[in-house]
Amino acid sequence: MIAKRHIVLYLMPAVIFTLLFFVFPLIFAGYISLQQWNGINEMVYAGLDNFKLVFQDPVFIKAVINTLLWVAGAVLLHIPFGLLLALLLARQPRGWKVFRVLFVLPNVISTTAIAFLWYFVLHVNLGLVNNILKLMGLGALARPWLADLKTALFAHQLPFIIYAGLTMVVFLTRISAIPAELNEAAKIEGATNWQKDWYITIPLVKDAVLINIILNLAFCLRMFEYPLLMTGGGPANETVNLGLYMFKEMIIANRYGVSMAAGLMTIAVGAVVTGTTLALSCIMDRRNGI
Amino acid sequence: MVIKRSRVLLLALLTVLLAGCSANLQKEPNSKQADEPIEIKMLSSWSTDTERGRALHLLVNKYNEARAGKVKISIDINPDWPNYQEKVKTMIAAKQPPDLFNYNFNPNDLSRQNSGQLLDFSPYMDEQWRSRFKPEDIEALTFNGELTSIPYEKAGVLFYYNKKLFAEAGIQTFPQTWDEFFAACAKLKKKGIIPISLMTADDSWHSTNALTYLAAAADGMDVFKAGVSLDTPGMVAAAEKLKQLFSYSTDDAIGANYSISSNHFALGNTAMIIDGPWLIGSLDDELQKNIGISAGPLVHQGHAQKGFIVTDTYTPWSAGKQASKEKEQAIVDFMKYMTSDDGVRLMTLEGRILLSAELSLSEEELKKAGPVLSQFIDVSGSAPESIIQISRVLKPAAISKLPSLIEGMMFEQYDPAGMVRRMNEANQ
Amino acid sequence: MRWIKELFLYLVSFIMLAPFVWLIIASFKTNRELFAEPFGLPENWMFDNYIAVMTRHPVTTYFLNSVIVSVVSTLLALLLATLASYIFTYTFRWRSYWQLLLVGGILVPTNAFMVPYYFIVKWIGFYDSLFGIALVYAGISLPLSVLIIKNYMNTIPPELSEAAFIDGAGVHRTFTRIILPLSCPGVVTASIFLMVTAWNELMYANLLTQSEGTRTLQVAIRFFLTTFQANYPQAFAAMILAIVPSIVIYALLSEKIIGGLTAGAVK
Repeated sequence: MIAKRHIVLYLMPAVIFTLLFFVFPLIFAGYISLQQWNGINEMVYAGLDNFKLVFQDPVFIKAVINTLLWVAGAVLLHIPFGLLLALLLARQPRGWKVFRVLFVLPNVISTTAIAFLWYFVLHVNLGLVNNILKLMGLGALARPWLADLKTALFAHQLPFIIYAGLTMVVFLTRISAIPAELNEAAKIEGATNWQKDWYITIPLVKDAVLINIILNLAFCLRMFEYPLLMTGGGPANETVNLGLYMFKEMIIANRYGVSMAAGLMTIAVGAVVTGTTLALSCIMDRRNGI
Repeated sequence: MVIKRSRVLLLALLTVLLAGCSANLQKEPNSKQADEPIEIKMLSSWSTDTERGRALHLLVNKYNEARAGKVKISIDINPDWPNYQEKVKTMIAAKQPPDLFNYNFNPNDLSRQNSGQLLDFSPYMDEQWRSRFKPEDIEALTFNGELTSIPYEKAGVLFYYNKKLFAEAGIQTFPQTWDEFFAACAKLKKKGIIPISLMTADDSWHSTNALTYLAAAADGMDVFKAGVSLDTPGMVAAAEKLKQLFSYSTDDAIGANYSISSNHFALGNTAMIIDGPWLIGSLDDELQKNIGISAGPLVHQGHAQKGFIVTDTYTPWSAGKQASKEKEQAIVDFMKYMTSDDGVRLMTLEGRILLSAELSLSEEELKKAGPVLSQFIDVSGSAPESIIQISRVLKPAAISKLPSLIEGMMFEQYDPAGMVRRMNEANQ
Repeated sequence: MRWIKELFLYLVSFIMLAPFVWLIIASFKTNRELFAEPFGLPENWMFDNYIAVMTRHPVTTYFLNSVIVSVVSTLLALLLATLASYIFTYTFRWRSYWQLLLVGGILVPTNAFMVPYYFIVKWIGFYDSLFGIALVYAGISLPLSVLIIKNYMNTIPPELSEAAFIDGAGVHRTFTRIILPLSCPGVVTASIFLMVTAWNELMYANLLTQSEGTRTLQVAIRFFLTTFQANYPQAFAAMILAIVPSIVIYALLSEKIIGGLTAGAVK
């Protein structure tokens, strides 16, 4: 046990911040979501109209789906890619330190700059991708990647998937903590590198997977820069996500109530997704008897 | 010792907080002393990378010199126009309106006027100042007897065409009707010339310009009037033609932003573009010699007069209500200077910006303005009637949907009639 | 086999970095060159774009603003998080509920709070000030920092603080002398995550500032693209000027940064 004053002293600052930046905003957002309000003039109580409007808006449904697809992109592509890079670098090939530095570099530069840069990389005439395809004689595959209904969604996630440096470092951290004896034992048994990775390394970095999932979930749920700067949500709302939907409703359409109704739904989606992840990880832990 | 530690921690926290507070306090206007100049903070989106931005700086510097020691105007630049517009709204919402700002007037969105936060200029509008403006402009911006916005810019959005490319395709004059227009497009395309620059990203500006011209040619100048349904046969026909127009545009038109679209024209890749006078600064001298400017084509049995034009909306200046009478007067004085003959001349000739205040230019000055601007002034000046661009007059919710609706139509998610119906629904 | 792996690594580096090389080359071109031949080398390598940007835009101010915002927000969040995490190493009533309150925010996509944050910052009088943004970032990052630091502190053997207690050290002394130094790696890890997040954030930096004096790098980069609407090479030059300092700092500290992440072992 510890004296109450100590608890108050140490805990209060963080609690005050949490109240200010999480609890109060939640209440405030809930209040605004029930109003019809353009941000300047008087609020008019609107009951659940904003929620009705949001649920009947096909663009909002699209935004929810796309947000979930961002999460899927993180879990199915970004994190495995980061893991692959980590496994390759963990074997310490020639120049691995340089690669490690280079792979993390884009993460510290600027998401804004990267998003804009990739707008150009994927541009139909000026873009690197189409011009390389043409050089290789695959000009038929060239297309306006970000303006094509079929490719826009994947194309605007591409920079996020590729720049997996931070995710990689989290894995590397965990891999470097694996006792060397384990690997040596496996070597004596005659295991190949891939077998070692599959049977020893990957099971041991499971907690790093969970950390990466949580970090990237948080990132994907509040994803905003890539859709805004690369596609603006287009073509025909194909790439709108919840962050952009809220932003557009607030900033362009001036419907603060609708924006916050969507905001509350975003929080609900976030809670469901993260809750599911944590529950799954608990179940798996228990099954493995950890 | 224990107590001391906790105090140190508390102190550290307090210092951090206080440091922030004091930084903020410094920003509060100090109580004015008689010899301190009145400071007026003017918001603008015109950065000094643009001609108009440099002209505005010149104008403000001139004014500051003339009033040295009494008034000091400083310009705060936010080059992202939509972002700037929202900033102003949120500042008004927080009851801290900026000293001076300009905005896109929208009769469907009077939130700024109704906020009660804006300075009413009408007591200062004496005969002399009033004579600087067209009466209908003043009237359009007056609400409940209050004039909270000073008319300033109302630029025409006109057809630019590349005469050299037109000549290559054997076209002598700019088409007078939309049928001729599409015939000309076909001719250009046959010669391997892309007829027109269009775009759909952001506000879909060049495409909505075309849509406005098409709609107004069919249904006349009141087609977007508040309270009137947009779901008319004329609008549907306009949407159909817009869709057709995209087949005469670049292959990157869908998804292109303003820069991509305007660069196509500036580099001679496309033969036409519909844009305001601000584009002129991006065209090099060689190209400028070959540019023609025209008003909109007509349609058979349409309700528009020959020579009608589309304009950007009013972009007037407004000011926040001031506690100090002196500052209020200083703001009014500066606005008078900005709209004076001198001020307008400077902004028109140096900044290539077409203002709604009266200005008569001499032959020589017109020549100095360059071949494109003088044509621009000419075509705008002789237009019998005009209509404001569609994405400036609809309800904000409809404006935010318009670009994606155009894209949806282009991707065959719905036909032009479906697009018009959805647009009308969003405008309710 | 080995060469496939190496080839793969080189390929990945190429995909990651080629766009940046293109950006650098493009920033020396004229607008016409860029659009006519996007991949050609510029006819003559001209610095006009850079000069134009340097003379008209306070790029250094933007950079310093970003530094101030990231550093202040990180320090603030770390201060709050270490204090709270420390007290969680003790048992007290409703401890797990308090933990849930502080960490639960990690589930919340904070851009849902666009409107509330705007008004909170407004009400406490920090609109358009660097401290306002830093405050919001600190608030947003608090759950993650508590999570990382708390988990790290949990790995410190409780015997250490018990020993300190027996030696007569109080709550505060145990914190400053034992726990804080030992949890340094965890704190460093958290700080890197916070710095990277704060450095890259665009939405709130954009929403909460107005004037040039408080513009962060990310907002500035976005504005460059609108300012130079019809002149991308200049926008590119501005972007390069804006990101070069971060690359230099990263190059100098890369070992420390990556080492920090490694040592702190996100657990």
